Amino acid sequence: MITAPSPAAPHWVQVALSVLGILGGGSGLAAIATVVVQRGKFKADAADTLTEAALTLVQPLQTRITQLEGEALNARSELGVLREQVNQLQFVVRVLTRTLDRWRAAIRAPDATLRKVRATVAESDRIPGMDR
Amino acid sequence: MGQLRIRSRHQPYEVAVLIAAPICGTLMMILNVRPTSVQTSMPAPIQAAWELGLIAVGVGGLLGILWPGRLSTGLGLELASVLVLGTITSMYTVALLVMTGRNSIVATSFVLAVAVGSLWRAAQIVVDLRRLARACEFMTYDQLQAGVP
Repeated sequence: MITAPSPAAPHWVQVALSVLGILGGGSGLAAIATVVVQRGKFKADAADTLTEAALTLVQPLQTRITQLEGEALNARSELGVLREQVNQLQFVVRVLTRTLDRWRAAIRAPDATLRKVRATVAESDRIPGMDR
Repeated sequence: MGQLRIRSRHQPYEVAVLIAAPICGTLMMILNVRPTSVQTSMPAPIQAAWELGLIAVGVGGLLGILWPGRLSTGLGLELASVLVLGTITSMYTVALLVMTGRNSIVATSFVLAVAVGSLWRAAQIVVDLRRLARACEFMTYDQLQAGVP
């Protein structure tokens, strides 16, 4: 690579390279010093550096989450009311089925008479919960 | 509101050069050899500083890239290393140019490319640090904490 190196470089090269080296080294030290001095500007650690973009994403998401939580709460209470209604209806259905069975048995009985059937129907009128 | 984009710090060319630099410096120191162009174009103390600089740059730069703590500290270390690396390679480029001229076009070009690349990377880091500082100014630490429940 180096075919004919001159024994000594011109003086200006030595001066120029010295100046360049000192300037470069100085700028390196200055860079470190600047970052150390301005350390207060960088509050966040690398791990929790939230970017501006991320913050703008997070805020609407948070409001959305509170909205959804409210809606979920509403839905849950509504579900409770509905479950209660279903329970009541199930009870009514059971009672009605039982009444229907009793009437059917009374009608189909071999010795069924109008009077007996009427008596059975009158009896079921008194069953509680049927007035609804 | 702009986006904060910090460039990846694991850039293959940069890392390769930063690994090569301390190896090169250590070998020169152990074997007590120096390029003829460096020997003839630099005063003795500058030569020693140049050699030590190679080692310091490599170690500092890799340390900065792998820094586990604050991002800004790592970037600062990397910035300093890359600046000094740019200086060292520029010095070598000048030495090669003056001492060997057209005989070492290839070597000069590659060394100059490393110098330009280093200064380019330094400029990138400065921009990134600016953005980071702006982002930190934009949000107080409380906001950061409140942002992540």
